[in-house]
Amino acid sequence: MPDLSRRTVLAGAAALPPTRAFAQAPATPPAEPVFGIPPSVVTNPPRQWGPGAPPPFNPDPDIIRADNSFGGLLIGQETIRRLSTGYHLAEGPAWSGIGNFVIFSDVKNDTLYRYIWETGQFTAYRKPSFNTNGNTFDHQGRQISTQDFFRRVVRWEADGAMTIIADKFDGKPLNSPNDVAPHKDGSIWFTDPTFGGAMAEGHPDEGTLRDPAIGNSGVGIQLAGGMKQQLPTNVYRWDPSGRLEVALAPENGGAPNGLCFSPDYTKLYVIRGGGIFVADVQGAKLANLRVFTDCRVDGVRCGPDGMRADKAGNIWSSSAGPLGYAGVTCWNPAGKLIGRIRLPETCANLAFVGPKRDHLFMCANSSIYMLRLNIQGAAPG
Amino acid sequence: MTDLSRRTLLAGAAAALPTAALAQRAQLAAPVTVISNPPRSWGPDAINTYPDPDVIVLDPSFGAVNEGHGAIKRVGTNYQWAEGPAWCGEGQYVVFSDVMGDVQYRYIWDTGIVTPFRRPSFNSNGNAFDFQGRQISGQDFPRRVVRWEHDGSMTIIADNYQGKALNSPNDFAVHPDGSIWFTDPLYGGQLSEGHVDQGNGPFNAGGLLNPMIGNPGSGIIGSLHQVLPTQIYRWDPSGSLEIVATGQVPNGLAFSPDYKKLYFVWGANLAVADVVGKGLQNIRTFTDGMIDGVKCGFDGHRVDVQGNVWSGSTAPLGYCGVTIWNPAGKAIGRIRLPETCANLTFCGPKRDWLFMTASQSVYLIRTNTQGAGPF
Repeated sequence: MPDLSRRTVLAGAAALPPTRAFAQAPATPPAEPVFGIPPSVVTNPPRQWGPGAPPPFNPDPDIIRADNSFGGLLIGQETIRRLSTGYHLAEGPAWSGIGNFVIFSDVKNDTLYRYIWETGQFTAYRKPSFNTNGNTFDHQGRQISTQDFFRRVVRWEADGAMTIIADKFDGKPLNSPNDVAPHKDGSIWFTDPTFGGAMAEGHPDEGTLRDPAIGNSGVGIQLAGGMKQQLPTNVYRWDPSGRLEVALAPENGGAPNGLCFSPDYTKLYVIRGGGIFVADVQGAKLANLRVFTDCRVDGVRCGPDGMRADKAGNIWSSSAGPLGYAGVTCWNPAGKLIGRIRLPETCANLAFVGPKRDHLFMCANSSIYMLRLNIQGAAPG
Repeated sequence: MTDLSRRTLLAGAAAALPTAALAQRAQLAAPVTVISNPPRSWGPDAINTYPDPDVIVLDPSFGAVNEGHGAIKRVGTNYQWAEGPAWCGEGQYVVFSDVMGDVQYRYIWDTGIVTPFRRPSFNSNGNAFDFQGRQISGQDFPRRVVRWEHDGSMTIIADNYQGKALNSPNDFAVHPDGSIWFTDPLYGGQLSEGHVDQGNGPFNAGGLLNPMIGNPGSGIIGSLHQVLPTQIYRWDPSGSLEIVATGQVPNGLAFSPDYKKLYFVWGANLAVADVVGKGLQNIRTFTDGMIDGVKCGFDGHRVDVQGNVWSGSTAPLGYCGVTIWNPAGKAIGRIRLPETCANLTFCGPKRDWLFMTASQSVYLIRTNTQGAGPF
């Protein structure tokens, strides 16, 4: 109580006009309201995070509406929270509805973590993870992951066993499967860029200055998947029959990265070449590939990496833009920017999580951030 | 190799008859056990010796499934009535129920930490995971069987038989044909484990107890009267529910590894019957649970891949814990715990650990076998 009264006195003193002005004017001019500026990721000093941070302010100054429709997806009182930090490259979040936990990869630190919902604790779930990158859960609740070290796609079965889903196409080893989207028909769609050939994220190719045999997690480099990337950076569709087909070849676009389906599974969104493309899903094929957005906001490139669709069909994409634009961008089904989230770090990927699947879990370089929303994710995982 | 030879030497030394000179020098001590005085302690500083003195070999065949380099560990305590452990292979955790505490916990494998998973649990009792990795639970309070789906939603599997409310589904065994077999005793009619019947009832003599007090806020109370006999049911994926055994009070149940036999608690004994199509035939006593003239009562059990039945034992100190029976019904080993053990499951990434829910605590020990089927 003494503190409170002191604050009140001080605030009152600051609001009083100077005495001289008071004397000159017959009527007291109304006091100017004194507003504070809530700290954000672009203020100086910037917004603080972590246990010692001051109380968050709402509405959150780092949630930016570009269109009125964004408001319907938000809860005004909710603020961005940093849940954890200290990772090397956080990637591939996915929600287990049966297990009530979020998994995510620290690709470079070779660990798959999980966030236990009921306690908020983080645990090292699979270590080594063999540089696991993208993760998802399929419609039968099974974890599907890509392993950059082995350059393959694997699935963790209900009994805990692991199945290799795909490690080669046409007899040639895959480059480094990156992100995964399960279709309702049981097929698994995944992108196969070359990033796992980076020394920090998997193992380099043979015949370069870097020796892939050093630091191979005790596996033996002979077993570490392809030693030379030779396939185009395709998007593949794995059929439950075991057949692997190219769904999208890299012509007229760069390497693919994140991908997700529309809520009705009639459209596939694919990140490549710094923008988001969309195509119609026609059975096992894609048709009518077109640009969804070039991910430019205010003329600033908000490079996407991973994304998810919500139940309304909006696409929530990570942004690797410069500070002020790094974080998340949200696009309506017509490809119009409706809102964005500023984070103090570049964001690689995100997922809808929580018992109601209404929290956005953001993997941003060294930290994990979460924001509760007023919408649910479209797909499990 | 060095280690191995040292071990052999030590074992040999211990087995050899001491000479007079050696006998003077040897200072052998008996390790503390649950029946020694002072008894074995269980906290974080407890020292355990291999082989564990509370794991008792009754038949040499037990050696094939017993991991000699393993010690019983207490991994959680202070529950009111621990029950229904089940292993989630997809998520790498053990769920178990504190029936009376109205909380469903889970033991996170990667950290060894127990967390409150579902609170309230509506007095969840038995748990199992089916072949598709979905969690099946019995909820004593609403007197029903539920399933947690892959997307986190919950489905009510069964709460009545031909329009009559179930008593309190207790334990579950999943069959590869998609069916769920479960027992329906009446223990959920107790005040502490669910809710009593309204008016005079099996656990409410004179109707003095009020079942409406302490409803966990859902307003869903299930039946207010137990009207069905205690039976075993088979729930078919088509949704139909059929009686497979009636006439005794059932409790835990588990299939043999080939799904040709069902082991179930049937009154005071452990019974076995042949699974024929969608029914049971030739119900007979598998064992009466007598060891050294002491009755080791049954509650819940699981079967290993060799077909041995590992059962919780409700018995006086010295015999409470776990009993292990070979497929012929012969006791081959037992595990002494300091508390009565209601139920157990095989768990762990290789499904080779035994997780024992024993009254107020949960215990773990590694075995040299794997649990049959999920989970």
